[in-house]
Amino acid sequence: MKEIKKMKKDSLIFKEEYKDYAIVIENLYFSYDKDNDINGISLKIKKGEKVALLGHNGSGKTTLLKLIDGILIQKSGNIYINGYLLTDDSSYKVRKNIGLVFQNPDSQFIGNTVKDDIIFSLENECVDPSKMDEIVDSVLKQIDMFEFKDRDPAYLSGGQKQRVNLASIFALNKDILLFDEAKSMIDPKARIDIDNIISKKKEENKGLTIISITHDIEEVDFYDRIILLENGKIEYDGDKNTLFNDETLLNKVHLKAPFYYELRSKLKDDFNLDDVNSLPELLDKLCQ
Amino acid sequence: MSVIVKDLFFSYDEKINKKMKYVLEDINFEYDKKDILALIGKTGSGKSTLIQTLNGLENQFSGSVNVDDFIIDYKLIYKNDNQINYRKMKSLHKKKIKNIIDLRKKVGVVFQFPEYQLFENTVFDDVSYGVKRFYKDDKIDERVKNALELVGIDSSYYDKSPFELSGGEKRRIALAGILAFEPNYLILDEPTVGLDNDSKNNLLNILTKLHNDNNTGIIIATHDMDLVLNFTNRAIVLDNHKIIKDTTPLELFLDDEFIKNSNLELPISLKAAIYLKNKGLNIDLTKVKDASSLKDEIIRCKR
Repeated sequence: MKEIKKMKKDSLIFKEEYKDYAIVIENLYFSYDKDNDINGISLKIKKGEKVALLGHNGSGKTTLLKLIDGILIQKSGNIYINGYLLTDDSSYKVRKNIGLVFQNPDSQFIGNTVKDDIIFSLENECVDPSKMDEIVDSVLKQIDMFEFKDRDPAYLSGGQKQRVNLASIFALNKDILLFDEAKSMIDPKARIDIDNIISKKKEENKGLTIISITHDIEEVDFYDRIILLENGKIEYDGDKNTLFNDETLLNKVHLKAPFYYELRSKLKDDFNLDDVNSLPELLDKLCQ
Repeated sequence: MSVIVKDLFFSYDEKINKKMKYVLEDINFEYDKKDILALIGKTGSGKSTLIQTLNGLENQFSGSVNVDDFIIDYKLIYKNDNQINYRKMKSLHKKKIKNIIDLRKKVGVVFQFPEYQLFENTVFDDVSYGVKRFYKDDKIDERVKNALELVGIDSSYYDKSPFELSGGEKRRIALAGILAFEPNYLILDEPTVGLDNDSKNNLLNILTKLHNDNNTGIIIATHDMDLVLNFTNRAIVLDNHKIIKDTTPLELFLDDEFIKNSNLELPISLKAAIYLKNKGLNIDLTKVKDASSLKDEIIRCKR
């Protein structure tokens, strides 16, 4: 028994130079079929970064998240999570730090009631059973789903299901959160509540890293860094201003800029907007 | 020809009694095909359930749903001096509604993430699957081809596996599966969620064409207020299982008091326009739809 434990420990490969990075990907390739769906991706995400992952339907965003979570295994290339190499053997241990929320909430339900569903994820993490009730109650209250605690998830609305899935993830203290359009069916006001929960989690844990796939372009303000995929490759990786002011690139990848950038670029010939950096500033400038 | 919903109540509770919790309460509205109708409301307000009762997937507990000449009416049986007769209701709910398939042919429902329901080996087989159950004639292939043409999928796709396609294409194929049985009404639950901008525009163009050329009634449940403002011309707001507003999108969004008290978020273009107007710019709010139209208004005001 001891020997087995030792072996498992040895199978963890740690790279000192990557210790400050939540995720490092080296030359990653993956294919479901013949063509490469992930076609040579390399990137480094520091601990604590908030990253929006953008791109067309079919550009490889969901596949990339699944690879990072170890659900899919790459054809070639390496993925390091918090400095540890993700392999077949190590994935059980390494991915413990990761919480992934899928796009379709139905693909994630297991329990017969909302409460059971959250308890299932707590059991997986070997949380002390005597504390579970307390955790479930607090996380459901946080996300405004407490009254649905004993309901069957199948009878919840799409947005409520997504909230329960988020609650399961918030109940665990993960270092890396991967969201695949996790808020797409939630109404706009409730989305803001969820962003606030995430911000609070981030205050408690400065190293909390978030990667979020979204098609809601107005949402990108929440993130520090944007990674844009196209045909399984990184087409852009950087800050939002550079991307959304680059009309040639936006046209090339058929991406619509957020409202602020769109309005700003339409007005820039008529007004001097050099010192304008946000929508409120732009609107105030126009009122002068 | 229209959809008429009268005094509709609905509950998911299995125990039928006076304490049951309603998901839909006292729903009344009429819809004719000339409008594109938006159903709005926060998560859990009853939008999806309402959609399901319109196509007979869920049976109401009381009230009536008429779709063209098809009628499901529980009103007479359930209501006795305005009191719901729970005992009679129990016995009736065990019975099946006759010819419900006729209703399902009239009302096509496209659920949230319809592409998750694709399962056949080829695109053509997947689109044929539903229509084969509804029609027993020899025009199945023709219906399937027409439907695929409507959603802009050409014959080179027929033998492909639906799973090889992009998210936007999959969703159009799922839509074709519904269009193949030529519904008079098409109801879509969050149709644009998860689609990139191009796929979204593509889908909206298909819906516009269906509405204008094929005279298909279109009802959309959505949280996307830009979609409501730019694409629909009537909005019904559900809150706490009841209809609290039924008006045009613009009137809805410009009703200050209502918006403040509701859970609704304004489309960002209108939000910006209202801010400018409150600061003294003479913006005509009825002209603002997006960044371009707001720019025109700003330029006009500044001239």
